[in-house]
Amino acid sequence: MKTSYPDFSEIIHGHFDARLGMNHELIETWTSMQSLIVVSVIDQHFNVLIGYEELKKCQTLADLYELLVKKLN
Amino acid sequence: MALFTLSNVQISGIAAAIPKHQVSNKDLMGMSDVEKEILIDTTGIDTRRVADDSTCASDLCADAARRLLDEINWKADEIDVLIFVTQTPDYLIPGNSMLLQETLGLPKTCMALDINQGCAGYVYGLSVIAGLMSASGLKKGLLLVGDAITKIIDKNDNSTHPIFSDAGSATALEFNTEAADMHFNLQTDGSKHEAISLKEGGARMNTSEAGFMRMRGHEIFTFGLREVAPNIQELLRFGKAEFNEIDYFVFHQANRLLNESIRKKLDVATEKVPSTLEKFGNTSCATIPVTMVSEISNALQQGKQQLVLSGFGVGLSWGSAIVYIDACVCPELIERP
Repeated sequence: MKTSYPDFSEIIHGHFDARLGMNHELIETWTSMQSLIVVSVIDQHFNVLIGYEELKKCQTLADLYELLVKKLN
Repeated sequence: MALFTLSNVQISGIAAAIPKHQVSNKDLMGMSDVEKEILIDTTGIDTRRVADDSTCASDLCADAARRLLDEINWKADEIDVLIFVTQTPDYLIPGNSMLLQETLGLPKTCMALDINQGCAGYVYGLSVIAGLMSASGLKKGLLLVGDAITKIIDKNDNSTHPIFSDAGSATALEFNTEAADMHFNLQTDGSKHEAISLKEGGARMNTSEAGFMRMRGHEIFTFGLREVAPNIQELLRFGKAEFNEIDYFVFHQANRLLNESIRKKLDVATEKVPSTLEKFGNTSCATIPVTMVSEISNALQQGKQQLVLSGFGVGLSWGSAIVYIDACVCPELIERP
């Protein structure tokens, strides 16, 4: 995968709404709507679908990036 | 593989009816103003229509059917077949099609049949009635598609309550050997049947409680992202149609995030994808005819239009169709008081 973690993080952070005050790094703080937005962004940018169970196993944005790298390889 | 073509049947008219009573997602309880704003922005759904206690899908479809029969100048006793698609029938027994045969004054020589289908219901229903008429030569048919889905929604469930809305529709079909072919691509994945379900009230869980419909949002969302665009792409290849030849892509109105993702995957311009999410929300199986009547009725009445219709949801089931509509009767959207 060509996209580095900082680039991935920037892409995802661009789709968070600051008004909700979520911790972008900690997935457990995301609302269900925010999770769907992130899934949609990953699908759009990387053509990879992240399932509910897969996302649940990720605790941080870095975990999600690792999952994405794994799914792309 | 349910990828097929039907000949000799045309869509001659479409009508739709919604309850007059309107509610706004801005008035949702238990959410902050910011949460409500984000919800409306992401789902695209601001106002919804909710039927009163005495109004069911059968009433909304009856309103649409009466107006359509009147405007298209068909007599009730000319109807050979009636198909009713719903997940919110008046009763478990008998089906809504039998009730509407009487309500609309259709003859006893009319066959009437119910289909339990949700978000893909319009496309599935269209395939069944057009297939039947094409094979049999039956001359005139009515497809009624509608749900009073808010009756089975838990007002405390934020994954369903802000999304769903009520509506009914009627589509008139005629046997005509000059009609352009319709193409269909219909699919199913029953292994994910729990993604949207209402288990109570059936024979396996026959309780006295009405129960509420439950939805696993993430599962439905990824299903939509994965399946809908390839289904449409395969249909266009099969029907030898080019994307730029299609006048409108009428999608099931699920939510803005999903519908926009599908549109971008297909690389279709926004103006070719009409939406009623903001005004009417997700009216289950009725979203496609409601959107046609509400947003593109002028085009449908004026001349030949080539449309892709695509429904996707409960089942899981999904399907799309290429249909040609040539100056059909399309009265304005009916608001039931």
